[in-house]
Amino acid sequence: MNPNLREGRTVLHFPAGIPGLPPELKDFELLALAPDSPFFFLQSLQDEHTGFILVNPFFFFPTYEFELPEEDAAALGISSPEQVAVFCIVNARRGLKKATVNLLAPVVVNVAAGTARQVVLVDRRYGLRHPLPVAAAGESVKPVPPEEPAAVQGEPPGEGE
Amino acid sequence: MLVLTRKKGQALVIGSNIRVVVVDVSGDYVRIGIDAPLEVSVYREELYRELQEENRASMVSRRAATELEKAIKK
Repeated sequence: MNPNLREGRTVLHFPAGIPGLPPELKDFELLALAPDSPFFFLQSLQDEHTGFILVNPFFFFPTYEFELPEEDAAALGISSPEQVAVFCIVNARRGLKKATVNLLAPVVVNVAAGTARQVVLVDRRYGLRHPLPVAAAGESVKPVPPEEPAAVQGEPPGEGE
Repeated sequence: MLVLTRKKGQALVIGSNIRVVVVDVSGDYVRIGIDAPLEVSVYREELYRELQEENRASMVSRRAATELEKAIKK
């Protein structure tokens, strides 16, 4: 039984916190925005004003895939993909039509342990701000392959082992 | 800032539980190995700064998130 399902709540512990946030913010509750929704809300349990919109990236980007860097897998205690759930942070600061998804730094969760980490990928395909393909009101939402990211990260040769 | 010189194979110890070693030196590039506990993440600086900013820009209140969901469902 998942020790983090207290009274039906899903609580995630981030041992390394989240970059950009005060380091003491390590515990968050994960809430689905609606049943069957690919969107979630990650609410800080240490600061009621801090939260993030997360999305199941595979819903909008079905070809999204990456290799979990070894050090992150070790930190999370993960040895196989079945142990993992992946969410990406949505930046909706400029509204829904301009919302972007951070595919370069997914939130990777060890589901059984209830631990999570924002992992920075070494992967030229993905960036910090991929447009979220949310259609105009009234249309259904269709998954699309990831477009070119808004900012491409350059890496020197030899990275990514 | 503390500045030290190391050659390939030499290491630094930071605090009581972080170790940094120069794995290889090749032209302009240095390969650096880091041993650190789970609570300490290690990032390339330029990426880390951008990531911090992006995370901060992405923070929302619960109410805003619920409004977003309603807008999506319409």
